[in-house]
Amino acid sequence: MRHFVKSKILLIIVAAVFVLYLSNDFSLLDIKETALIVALGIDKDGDEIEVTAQLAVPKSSDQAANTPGTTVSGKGQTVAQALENIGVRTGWYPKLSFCNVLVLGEGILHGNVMESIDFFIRTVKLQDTARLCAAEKKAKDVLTAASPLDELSAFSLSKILQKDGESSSTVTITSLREFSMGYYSKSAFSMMPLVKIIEEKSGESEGGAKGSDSPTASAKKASSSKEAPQNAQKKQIFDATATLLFSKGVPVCCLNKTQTMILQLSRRKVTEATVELKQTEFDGKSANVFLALRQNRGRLKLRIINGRPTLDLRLRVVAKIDDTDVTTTPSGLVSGYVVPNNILRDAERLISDAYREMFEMTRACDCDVFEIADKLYRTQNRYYAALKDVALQGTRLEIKVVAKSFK
Amino acid sequence: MTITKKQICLLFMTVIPSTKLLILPTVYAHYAAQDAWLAGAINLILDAMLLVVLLAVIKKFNGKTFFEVLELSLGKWVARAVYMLYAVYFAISAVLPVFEHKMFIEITLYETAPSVLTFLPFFLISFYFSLKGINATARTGEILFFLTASAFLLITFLSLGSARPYYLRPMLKNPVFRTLKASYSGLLWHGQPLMLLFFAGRIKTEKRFRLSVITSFAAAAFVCVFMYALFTCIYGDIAVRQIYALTKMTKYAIALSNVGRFDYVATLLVTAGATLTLSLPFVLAVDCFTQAIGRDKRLVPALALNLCALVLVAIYHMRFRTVMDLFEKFFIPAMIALVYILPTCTLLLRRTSQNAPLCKE
Repeated sequence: MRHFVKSKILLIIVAAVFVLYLSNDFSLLDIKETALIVALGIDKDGDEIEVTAQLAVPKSSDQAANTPGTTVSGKGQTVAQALENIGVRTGWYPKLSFCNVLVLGEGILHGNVMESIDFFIRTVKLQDTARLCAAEKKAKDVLTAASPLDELSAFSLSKILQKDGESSSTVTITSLREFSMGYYSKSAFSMMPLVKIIEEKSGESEGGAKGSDSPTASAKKASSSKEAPQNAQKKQIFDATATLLFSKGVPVCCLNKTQTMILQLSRRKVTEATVELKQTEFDGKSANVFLALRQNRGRLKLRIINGRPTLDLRLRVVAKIDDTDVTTTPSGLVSGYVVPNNILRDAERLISDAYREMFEMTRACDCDVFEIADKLYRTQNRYYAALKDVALQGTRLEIKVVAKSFK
Repeated sequence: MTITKKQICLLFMTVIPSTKLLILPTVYAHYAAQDAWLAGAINLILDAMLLVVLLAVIKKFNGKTFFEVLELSLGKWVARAVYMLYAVYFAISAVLPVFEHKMFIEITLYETAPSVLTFLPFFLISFYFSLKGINATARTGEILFFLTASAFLLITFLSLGSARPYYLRPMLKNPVFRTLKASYSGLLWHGQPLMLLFFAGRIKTEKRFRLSVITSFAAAAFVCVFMYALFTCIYGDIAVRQIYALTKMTKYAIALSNVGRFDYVATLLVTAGATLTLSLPFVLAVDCFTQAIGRDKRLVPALALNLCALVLVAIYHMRFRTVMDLFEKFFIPAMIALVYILPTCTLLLRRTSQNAPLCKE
């Protein structure tokens, strides 16, 4: 009897606990009261910070078509305050877990950008895998741009910064984590892509995007394009091939598309990289050659030779001729795979010169683009105390680029 | 009721890594920077030495419980006083990891600060273990080991791609004082081999017992040191800003961008293993208390202890930093005395005809 009562009481207690426990809402957020932020833009507006959030508002499938993304702005003395104001104004809880892109406006770039993005590194609400980029003008303009590629400009931007960036060498990939790791390193060097908005007519965009359509479809399009100017809307696409370099969190110089590409080649493995060789000899003619570079293996090693830091930059690439502006003979077609030695040497020279030029340019800006100070600390630690102040200016650069042909 | 060699080995391999990879890597990185793994290794070596001492104690007084050894060598009241001291030690040492895990769960698995109720069911589990004793805990360890091991495998698999061994350099260049300071602060998360002392007298005599236990401890210690190094390799100079390393290290894997955050499965599995780890001090505290007062009934002390911890967590649940500072200031010296010095002194007790081993191992 005693055992029976005991077991029943225990059962009732357990049931009561479960009822209490399962009837709790666990402070979970109601999706209807939540704003899913997919991108954030930070601008300076006078003394205040303006944060623009691009939201993905859940809609039914029939409503979803032709629905542009919603952008909401909030202002405050700090980023957190501005973000809170967005919630206050809209009544939505700003959910940052889905925010993959952070755009810094031109106003923010005038000072130490770390002051603005430090909040995102400290908070656990936003993933530090979110991509960082700088806007040529206002970050708000980037997020409100009408992109023909996606309903939300943030999605088309993140395609450039994430999907394309992982394989292509023309875009610098920088996440919040990578930026802050660079900022807090001994070199205090970090970088991010600079996003420019390119205006184009919607008709142009369609023609470009559907270039591979059938001839009949192209013909139809050609006839309808006469009406296009009347209906043409301004569409904006993004270009993120330039790279902004930061020293101690302050932007100091900007790399162009070629420089961005060669910097990426030495830092990580890329699957798509190209160089254009002008007026080089190919198949017995003078031609412009478009060379594809594959299987890059870059290595940067700092050595101390006679008390002077020497940076060894080694790059090995496998080259293939993608295209030329001259017609080739059948034997010339074969040489597209076996790249002639003169073209390989030209490519090596072009890349080496670009590295040298970039090194001198960034050194003049006191920007440690090859992270020499950090390498000195980590790999040549016993010389660090003596050489840290002259590491960047006193380093000699030795470049060896080896281009080989597909065989 | 005996504990088998297998249960002890699996318990070590579950308990040791599951508590040391949340805040501890950040504590080590704070003082020891790139030598964080070394600070962790120092503490694990200290624990390994403790393990060797305890195995020697078990061998010396084979078949006798620690209480019996004390009772026969120093008298009943000394034995009771020592057990009461350990009961208090285990009760206090249970608090910090509970706070840590509560914070971990609330911050990593919830968007906003959830209700305190979210974590409280843990005390139902710890109450159950406290009531049932060490055998139930050891049996649960047999299952949870596989969950914890698969979680660590998944975490390692997902993290390795973003690790750069470059960030471990320059090795051993951090000031010795700072590395030792890191080890000292990290001691709060160590001392688990001590549980072996309270298993004495209940361990089933099996072949290669010592070798198996040392090997399992070494495997667990290796996982910890490897994880500390991996953590530094991923975060470099900003490791000090990353709390809850375990959930963060995996998120850079390319696989996640296509499939989604399935790495949270590993987090949840480690949390399951940690439930056992967090309950263990409660179990040992109740064990010591019942021995000290000479009563077998576990219900009241188990209930009282868990209620006290629950109230503490409910009241001070937002003051983890204060609790940690208090522990670092006052608890570590007591811990060194009780975990490392006192058991070593046990080895000095003379084996008399009364406390001699009952049978040869």
